[in-house]
Amino acid sequence: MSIPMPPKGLLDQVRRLKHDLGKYISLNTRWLPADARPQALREALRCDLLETRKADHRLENAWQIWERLGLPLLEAGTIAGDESVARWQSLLEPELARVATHMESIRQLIPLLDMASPGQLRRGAQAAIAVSRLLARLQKRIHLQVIQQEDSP
Amino acid sequence: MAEILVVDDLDRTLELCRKAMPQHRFHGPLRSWAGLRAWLSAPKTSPDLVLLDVHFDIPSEHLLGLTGEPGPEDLERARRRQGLEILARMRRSYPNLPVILMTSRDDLPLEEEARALDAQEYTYFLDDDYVDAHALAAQVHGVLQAGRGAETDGPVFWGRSLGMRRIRQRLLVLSRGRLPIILAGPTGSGKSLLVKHFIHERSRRKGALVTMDLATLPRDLMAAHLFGSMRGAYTGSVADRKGAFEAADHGTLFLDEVGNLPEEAQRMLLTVLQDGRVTRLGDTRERLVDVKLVVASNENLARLVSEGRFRADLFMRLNPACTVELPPLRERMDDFEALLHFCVERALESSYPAELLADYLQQAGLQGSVPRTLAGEKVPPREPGSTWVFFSRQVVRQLRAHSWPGNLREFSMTVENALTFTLAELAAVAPGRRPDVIQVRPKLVHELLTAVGGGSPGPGGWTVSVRIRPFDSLNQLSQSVERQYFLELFKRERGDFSAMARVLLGDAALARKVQLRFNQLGLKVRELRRSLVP
Repeated sequence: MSIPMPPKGLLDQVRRLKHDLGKYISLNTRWLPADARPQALREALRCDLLETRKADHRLENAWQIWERLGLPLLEAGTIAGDESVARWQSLLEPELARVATHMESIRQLIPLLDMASPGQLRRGAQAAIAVSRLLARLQKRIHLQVIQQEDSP
Repeated sequence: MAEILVVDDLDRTLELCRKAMPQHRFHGPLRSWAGLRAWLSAPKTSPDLVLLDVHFDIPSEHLLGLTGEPGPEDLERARRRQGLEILARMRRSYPNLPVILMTSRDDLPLEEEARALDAQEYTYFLDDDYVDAHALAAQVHGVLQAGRGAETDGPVFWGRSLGMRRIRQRLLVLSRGRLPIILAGPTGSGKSLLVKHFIHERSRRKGALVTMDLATLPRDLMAAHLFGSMRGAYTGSVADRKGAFEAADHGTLFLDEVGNLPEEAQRMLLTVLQDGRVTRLGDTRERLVDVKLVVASNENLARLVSEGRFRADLFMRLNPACTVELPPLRERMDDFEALLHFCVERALESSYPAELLADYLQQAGLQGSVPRTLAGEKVPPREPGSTWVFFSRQVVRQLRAHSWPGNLREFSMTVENALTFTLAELAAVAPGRRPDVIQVRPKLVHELLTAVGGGSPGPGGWTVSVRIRPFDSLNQLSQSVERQYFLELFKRERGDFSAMARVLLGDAALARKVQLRFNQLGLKVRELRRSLVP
């Protein structure tokens, strides 16, 4: 069964989630060498998780961005409430569900960041990088799907 | 080391780049939005590469491209594509500057926009949005390498632009082959220099380079000069004489302004190209010649063919498919600073300025110091052993704004004149002036540029003045403005109606139409042409 064209708002939201969260949640972490010292890792995570979007007039941590852009995508019907939206949301689910799991572990790490053990820091970095990768994959998959929809007669 | 400008709303990108690529110098003037706007509207120095983010989470008053009273959705959209607004403005001042957009292609909301950017030669998307230090460094390295190549070959200045690198690449290939080369381009764009210092050298031919300017030879002697002649072949021919083809055997023959070749000589040239044999005037013996032929013309040879002034079969023998077109200087402004540095260095190597410089340095107690060029930047604090040839921002603006109808030749002569006069005036070290700074004065540059004969629209264009007499009709007024504009354009394009038609009507083939309008406006083409002759 063919899927109808996705609602524009939904696609934009996926793109924003990928940009605002996916791009910045591991921006410092993924630049570190594999054998980075715990202190360097802690500093990188502090930037990435606590000051994920930091600009002149806005400061948001990773969880706040996920709440703003990611959770609504998981909650069926919040965008338009029609059947096509629900179908598209089910298409997003494979990646989004895994992102939600990683975000939950990041939410728990955020208040503990200053005291976290090297192992916890490493797992936090792995989760942040996984979020970036999953959102990139999601965006690419949805983008391709839309192009195929547009090209099909 | 490359100069890389990071345009991003987050400082972090700049810091990360500095850490990951310490071999390059990164700048981020973008904490000041006023600074960015100024840089976009009045180009100063051009970096080697720009890393440009697309999404800018910045206050609405700094957003570019907003009109009317934008709602929250408009603001959000403007923020999400702010980098593209910046890129569009950047391209007006820096059309050939390599820019890596810090986003992947899939991220752009509009597919058409992504396609259009993909098609731009100097715009690159990130290979992957989630680049790490190694991946970004590799991409930066790749783009910088693609933008490199020899910037100069002796006195030939190529610069960094992709267009010029392609010309260099193409000429490298064509120089080695046996087929003729057509060089096209406006006067002063460096055709003769290229033949002498690039094409002939790269051809690896053992014979001589022979140059003939067909604009300066009497038409009835051209054939004799080209193909040689026997004693008594024409009045005044008192001895057997080799022609240019024989003199250039196993070498290169450069025929400048080949469009001036008379019909009979065109026929003979065609025979030489077909058979590789030349027959002197008045002789029956054919001589084998192996010559690399390069021809140049200010005029469009294809047009001359369509007008019946140049043989179509000869044109086809000249390998028109591989014509190399040199751009006018005003289309090479991306390389302006590099060209200025290059011309200063060349000028200081020529004998008179070098002599003046040596005298000055001795007088100022700076013997042995080699001056470096500063263009539009602040003079650094004094350091032992350092000397500067300083072009202030004002001078750089003057030079950039000039239309350079004489192209590279005019530019290098202006720079050499500016240096010579500056050094001559500096003969005495004035009190209160830093002796290590050799400053080229704006007034001197202004005099040099206006002496060339105007034709230089300022940054905002030309100024025309209209005297309105009582009861003048609107038609009279508009004709007066049109006349002045045509005159300026005529001077700028050195009387080339095709070039004027390209400017005015977007089609060089409409030259006749422009000439007709000239006549209707009462402008005397012949007199004007005479006024162009220096």
